Amino acid sequence: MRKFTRIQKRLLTTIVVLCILACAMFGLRQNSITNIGYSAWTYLKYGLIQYPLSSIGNAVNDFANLWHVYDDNEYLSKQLAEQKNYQTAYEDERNKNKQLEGLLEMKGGLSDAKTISVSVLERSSDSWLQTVTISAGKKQGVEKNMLVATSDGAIGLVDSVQTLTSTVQLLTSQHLSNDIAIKMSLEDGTSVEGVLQSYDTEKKAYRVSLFDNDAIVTKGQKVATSGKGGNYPSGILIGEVKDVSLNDDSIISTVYVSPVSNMKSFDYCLVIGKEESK
Amino acid sequence: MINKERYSFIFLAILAMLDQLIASLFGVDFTYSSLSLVSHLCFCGCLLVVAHEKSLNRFLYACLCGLCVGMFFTSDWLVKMLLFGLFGWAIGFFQEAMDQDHWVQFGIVFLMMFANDLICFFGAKIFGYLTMGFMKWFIHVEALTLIFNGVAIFVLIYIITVFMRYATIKDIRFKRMEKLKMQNIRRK
Repeated sequence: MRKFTRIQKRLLTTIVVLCILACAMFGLRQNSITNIGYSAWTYLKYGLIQYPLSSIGNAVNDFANLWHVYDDNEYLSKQLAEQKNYQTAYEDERNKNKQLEGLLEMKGGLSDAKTISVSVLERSSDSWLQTVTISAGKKQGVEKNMLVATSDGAIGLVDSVQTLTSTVQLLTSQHLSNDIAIKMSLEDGTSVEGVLQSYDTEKKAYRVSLFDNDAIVTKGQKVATSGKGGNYPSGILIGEVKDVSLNDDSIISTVYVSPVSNMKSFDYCLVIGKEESK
Repeated sequence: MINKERYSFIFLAILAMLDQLIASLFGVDFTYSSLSLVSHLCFCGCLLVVAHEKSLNRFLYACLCGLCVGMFFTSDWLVKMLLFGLFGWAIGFFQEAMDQDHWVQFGIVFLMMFANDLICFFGAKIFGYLTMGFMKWFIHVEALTLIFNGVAIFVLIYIITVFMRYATIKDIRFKRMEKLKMQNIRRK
């Protein structure tokens, strides 16, 4: 009989043992009464070999998918940026629409006055509170000293007129070329008139001198144009009384009027003149 | 002196794990709508490792390798043991041809791997586990398997050749050192 070498004996023993073990596992799996051994073996096999390997496989897959995630992220970032642009454009259009609605309403209330709807062409940053250029000139019937108003109220006077454009001097300008005649309705039913002379940059309000220094003026009272001495109708809102300055004899020396709310930013406005100035 | 058996065991264990890893990464599409591949790194590695052993050793090593793979990684331990053993034993008959040229070595291992797949396919077909046709199986599973494992066999041949050379150099050095030690002892 052929004799096996040491290594062959070892190999044979290992194979036989493993075969018996495998058969036992197979037998246990077939036996419905006890499958504890088979479950333990399966658990060991899964825990020690299959799970780590599948985990490595999943990790490699996840890493490979990172490129897809990167592409997706890029695409979504672009979409988000576009979405932000749309949002900004939407907000802008909504504001413009709101302004135009206000102006239309205002135009409806000024049936006796001459009104020209215009948009702001230019408002330079170095003269932000001084002048603006509007999209109407002589051709559209704009004349010097006509009042320019937004939906909230008056904001300036036409300073110079070109063929298709005009320059508007804002009421917040430090050197107003013309005074504006104003009128305030008092609580007792009477009214007091005065003149808007200049803009106080420190108080951020118009400086108004009243003709009747004994009038009782309180904060929050509305100030509007009187229609006297200018090329514009009466009743256009200028602002609200912000402060009242008294002299030593308790007589009103100056009334400070805050400008209309959308003075700092507007896209559309109305040039308003008297009907006879056509 | 390098323990070749131990290194061979570790090498084959790594290959078996790589097979599983590849299987989990590129699983076989059983709808056969796309191409799939099955990695046979451990099988090919086993054939290359046992090729120079004696016939019984070859058979036993290959059987043990197939049994371990079947038990620990898959569930077809008996089939794996028999196929590994059969091809492990058979490769020894081409020992001389394989020593002459690496291309012959590649060709024999490649053909055996293909034969192994054919046996598995027709076996499954005979026992009713598979209903698909040969051409469909060949195109959707075997074609890519042959290409992938063909490339892998070259890599395995390279690794085994480098290891064998390293082991030979180590053996020579070890023998030289032993010789020197013996000479020193004799002088004393």
